[in-house]
Amino acid sequence: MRTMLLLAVIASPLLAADPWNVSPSSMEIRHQRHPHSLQIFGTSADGYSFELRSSTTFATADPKIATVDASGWVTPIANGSTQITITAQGQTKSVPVKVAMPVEESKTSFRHEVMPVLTKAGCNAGACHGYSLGKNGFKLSLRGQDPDPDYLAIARDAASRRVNRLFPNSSLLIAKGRGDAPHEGGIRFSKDSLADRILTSWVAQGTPEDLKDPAQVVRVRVVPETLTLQPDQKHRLQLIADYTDGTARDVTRLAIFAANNTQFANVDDEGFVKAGDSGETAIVARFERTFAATSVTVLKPVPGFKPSPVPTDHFIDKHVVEKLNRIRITPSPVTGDEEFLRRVHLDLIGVQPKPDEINAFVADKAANKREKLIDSLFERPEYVDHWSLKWGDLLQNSRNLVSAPSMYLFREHIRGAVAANTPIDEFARKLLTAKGGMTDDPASVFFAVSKDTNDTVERVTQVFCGVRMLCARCHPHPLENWTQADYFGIASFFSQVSSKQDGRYPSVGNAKIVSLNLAAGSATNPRSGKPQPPRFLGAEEPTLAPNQDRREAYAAWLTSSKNALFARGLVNRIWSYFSHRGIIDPVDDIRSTNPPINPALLDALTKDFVEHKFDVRHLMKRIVTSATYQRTCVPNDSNRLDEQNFSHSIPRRVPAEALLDSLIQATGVPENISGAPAGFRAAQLPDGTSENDFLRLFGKPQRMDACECERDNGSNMLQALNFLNGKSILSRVKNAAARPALLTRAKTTDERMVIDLYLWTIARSPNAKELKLGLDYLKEGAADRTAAVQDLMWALLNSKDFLLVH
Amino acid sequence: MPFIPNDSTCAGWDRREVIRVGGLGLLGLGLPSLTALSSESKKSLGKPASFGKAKNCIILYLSGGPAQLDTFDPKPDAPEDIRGEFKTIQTSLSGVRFSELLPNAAKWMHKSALVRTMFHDHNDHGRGSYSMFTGYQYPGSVPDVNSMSRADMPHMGSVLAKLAPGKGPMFPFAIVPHRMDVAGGRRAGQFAGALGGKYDPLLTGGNPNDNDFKLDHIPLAASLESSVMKRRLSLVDQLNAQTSQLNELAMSQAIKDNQARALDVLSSPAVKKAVDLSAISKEERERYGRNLFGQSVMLGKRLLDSGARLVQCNWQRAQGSNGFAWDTHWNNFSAHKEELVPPFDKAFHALMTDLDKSGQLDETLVVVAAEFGRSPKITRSNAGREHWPECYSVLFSGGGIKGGQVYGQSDKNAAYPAINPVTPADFTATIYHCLGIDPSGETHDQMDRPIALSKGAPIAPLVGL
Repeated sequence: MRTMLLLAVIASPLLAADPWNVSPSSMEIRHQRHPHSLQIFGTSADGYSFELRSSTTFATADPKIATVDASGWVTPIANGSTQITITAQGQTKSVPVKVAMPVEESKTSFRHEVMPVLTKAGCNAGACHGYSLGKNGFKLSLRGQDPDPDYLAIARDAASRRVNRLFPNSSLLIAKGRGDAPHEGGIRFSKDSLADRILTSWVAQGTPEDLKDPAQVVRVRVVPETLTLQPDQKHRLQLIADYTDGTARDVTRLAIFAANNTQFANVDDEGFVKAGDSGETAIVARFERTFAATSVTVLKPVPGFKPSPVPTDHFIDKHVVEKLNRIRITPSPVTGDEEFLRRVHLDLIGVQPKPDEINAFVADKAANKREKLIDSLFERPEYVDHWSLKWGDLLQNSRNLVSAPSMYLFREHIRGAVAANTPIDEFARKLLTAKGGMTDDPASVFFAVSKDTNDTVERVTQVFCGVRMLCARCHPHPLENWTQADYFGIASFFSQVSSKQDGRYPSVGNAKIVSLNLAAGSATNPRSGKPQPPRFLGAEEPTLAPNQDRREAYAAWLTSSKNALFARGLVNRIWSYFSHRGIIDPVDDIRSTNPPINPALLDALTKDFVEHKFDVRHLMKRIVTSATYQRTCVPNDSNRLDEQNFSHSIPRRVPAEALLDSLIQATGVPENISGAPAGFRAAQLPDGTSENDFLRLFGKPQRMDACECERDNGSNMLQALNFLNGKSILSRVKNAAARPALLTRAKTTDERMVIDLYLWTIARSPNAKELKLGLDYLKEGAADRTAAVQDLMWALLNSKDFLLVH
Repeated sequence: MPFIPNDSTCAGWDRREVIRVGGLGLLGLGLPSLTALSSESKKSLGKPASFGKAKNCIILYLSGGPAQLDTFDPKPDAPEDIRGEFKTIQTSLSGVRFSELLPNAAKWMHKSALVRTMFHDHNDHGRGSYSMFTGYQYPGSVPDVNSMSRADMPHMGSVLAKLAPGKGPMFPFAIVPHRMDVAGGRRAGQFAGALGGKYDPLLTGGNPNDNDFKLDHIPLAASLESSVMKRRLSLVDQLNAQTSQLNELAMSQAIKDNQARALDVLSSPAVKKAVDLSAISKEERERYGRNLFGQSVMLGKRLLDSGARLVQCNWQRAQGSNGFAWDTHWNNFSAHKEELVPPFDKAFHALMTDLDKSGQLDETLVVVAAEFGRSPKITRSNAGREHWPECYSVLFSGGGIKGGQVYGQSDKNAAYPAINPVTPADFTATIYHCLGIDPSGETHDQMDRPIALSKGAPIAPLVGL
């Protein structure tokens, strides 16, 4: 039995019956030095990817036209047509090959051969010669962004010592790269490797220059685009570059491959993937300045796996369960009333439910009581506090950046929008086109917060598109196709904006008036030194009328239902507020090389959000009414290790403000927070400047950055010290007006006491064992009941229940 | 198990980074980004014994800028309107002379390395300090530097808190007692900047010179009787046992580990004693000087003893004439003579004596620094010296530094470096090196962008390179 199982495991991806594909299905080679590989791959009946090149036989019909080697590389010989016959696992296919090369073989290309080699060998990496000051006197443009100066640096600078056209092997470029000469960067390629051959022939040919060659990479494609592998299974990737002249070039050998998360898969220099632990990651391939990604799912075979029925009543559950079925995971069931109630309170309104709310909800027998509850939470004033806080964080509303009156007025603006459930597109348009002073239009504080136009560029892209453009301010983004043209293209929409002290409020420091100079030109691209016309993010450069407020064009483009970035970015971000992660994670680092864990889910949510006119409450309701949101955190054997696919709830630490507000509610003892009006709840604090040890310790953001990472929901020793030994809990528990004292004075039974302490503190009733434990404790401590009650509340506050949203 | 201040999902990443930057794992390919691919494979070069010799570091920061001519770089042969009023004295290192105001510090020169050729371009306190703390030039204007931002470069202490936080229990990076801010601003360079708020320094606050000073900012001393604490903790354990489904979660594990660490702190009399200056004898406190700076240095040393890795003791503006501290545009000579140099001299001597006696000096890097020096030419009308970033002195001792040497030589007026100029980037690189962090390595900001730790190089003779 055991042997059979083992055999089944090993054999399953290679079942002879599985049909395979070949890519490309036909090929045209137009260059003497552009061989092209054949990828032989498919998906087995049990869903695993397989790749067969090593067990395939390749044969050419006419070796005078093209040859093919054992690993499937087709090399052109002479112009004409032929075909390659491929035999694998008893099946045979053929691929027509057309060879149409120029009469004379071109010289080695600096642009298309040498530059990719410099990048692949790491020469122009940030830690090496791509460093802003170069290394050891040799400077290359960072990751090959600028071939022109690189050509000069190699072929002309240092009295041309870097290349020796008579004795190519003596060229510093080659000798150091091979390690023949001392090189601080170590050996970058070996003799006779492809890199070595390209560099040597280029030098031997007299370092020809083809900087003006118009052919450019349009895109790269990785084949296949998704992989499902068993742990330790290997699979080769193929990377094809499409050029402006219509050619497709196999650039697998010149590309750089990397895994986003090496726990789940690794990839080597040649594009061989090796699966690791069960889980998912992306393999990112880069050639020149373009990227492509393959999603890799690593999956152990699960004998006897029974797919869960795919729900039809909620599209979130449908997409999540479909994915879970694909990866052989059974989700955990929906959680009980009390756990759901506390979770949805903390997530939607930022505070725990009170005992009477818990009791009423548990007692409610209505079938739709969860939905009714959710609807009622949207009407709670705490809902406005909680989500205004979130937007205040994201929009960096802070006295550190603007005057206190500006900050309060902007806060009111945000609160108004949250209370009225202003559609988020309208909210964004209002912010992005605001002008005047704080009293003319409080939304103008959005611009007053920005230090300069660059700050605005980074804020509008990170907050509203979930895209980090910061890197592209100074050089091409290392993990996405953004360049300085993209960055300053956005800056040009905002280059008419300036903010200065509002003359009407001379005594209010930092009260700013946001004004527009419609005649102002575009931003300057520092790389070219020329004005960069306005360019939408990842899209076209629109023709705009002179003297129009260019922000309006940007806002209209941004919030258009056709713009995938806006709705998708926000949906993903809001999803993350109800989960331990975004569907794309981090939520504000969206790029092609960071693919979503469940694209169908994200697409469906985005479509629904757009169809419902950017109604945030609708989106939140969709999320919290799903079984996916309501699942228990108790894992089963199949989903215990899954932390990516929403198969069970993953507990998170309660955020700083919700923790403090819940602590205050539980104990009945308020907190005096300096820098805020008396009686403000933590969620109502206007900004991040209030000096409060508790909130600082638990990671309340200071609003210094538009990044979600400003909030720290981690755990650390000082937090534990504060909880175990600090005043926030100790003095609250023993306060004469606190819950323990109040409950003691009410002279309830021990049972009532234990239940009430549980309800107030961790918002659920004790189970039978917990009740007994509590009763025993009170009985033992009957001599000093006050102390025993305080002990119990203190212990409950220090239990994991209280700190976690679970 | 190293003390990692944050156990969120980031911690695993940080741990990898620790190894990488420490020069141990440069060949590893553990980074989930393309940028890492080639920088990772850089070969690790041999490191001298001084690398990582310092377990921790204390910086005595003489905010305002001491006059190099009146302290560590006297020029007795310079014209009268440059050399100033003070005579010079021989130090314990033959041929090296200090101002006569430093009789105690002079006793440690054979164990110290004096750098007399620090220089940079910023003539204002804020940006000058930023250079010294981060090794980078501040890119903005003089007013800008008073508002820290998350685009700033991190203070060395924050880098340490992220990459090599040590075992604790004390927070790895502390500033004693206050930051140097002006008018309610928060001056850049004194924070973790781009590394994010969780690596910002711990501020002790308060006045360590108070008789009953305790570090009550952090509840280090047990607030409950140990019997009560025990009783309650056992109850917590029993309660947690009832919700076992929560126990195996990563976040639960982090919370549990941190509780255990917190309990270690509470049960450690050493930590409690370390930060309770009220329990120290009068004579002992007097040895460091009963003034704000002297007691700050004493507290700083005790924070190191309780596990901090980098402590910066700031000379507070309040200590000195008219709130000018070392910024002696007026009455330079009377201030240096009466209010500034003697308290420093005393505190430094006490610190060095304690470290030397206990054998801790070898593993403790002591740094005396400031944002700049003061102009050689005396402004006669106020008997003042003005800001002077062109040439000033810093002093290193212990922690892997090769003592008994002077590096760099200033010109005849201590106005410009004559031989071997040193930049703030070299200054931070030297400190990183001693603390076992490869200054040519990098760390990552909150958004995972690489930050080069230092664009300078360790001062070679100081670290035996």
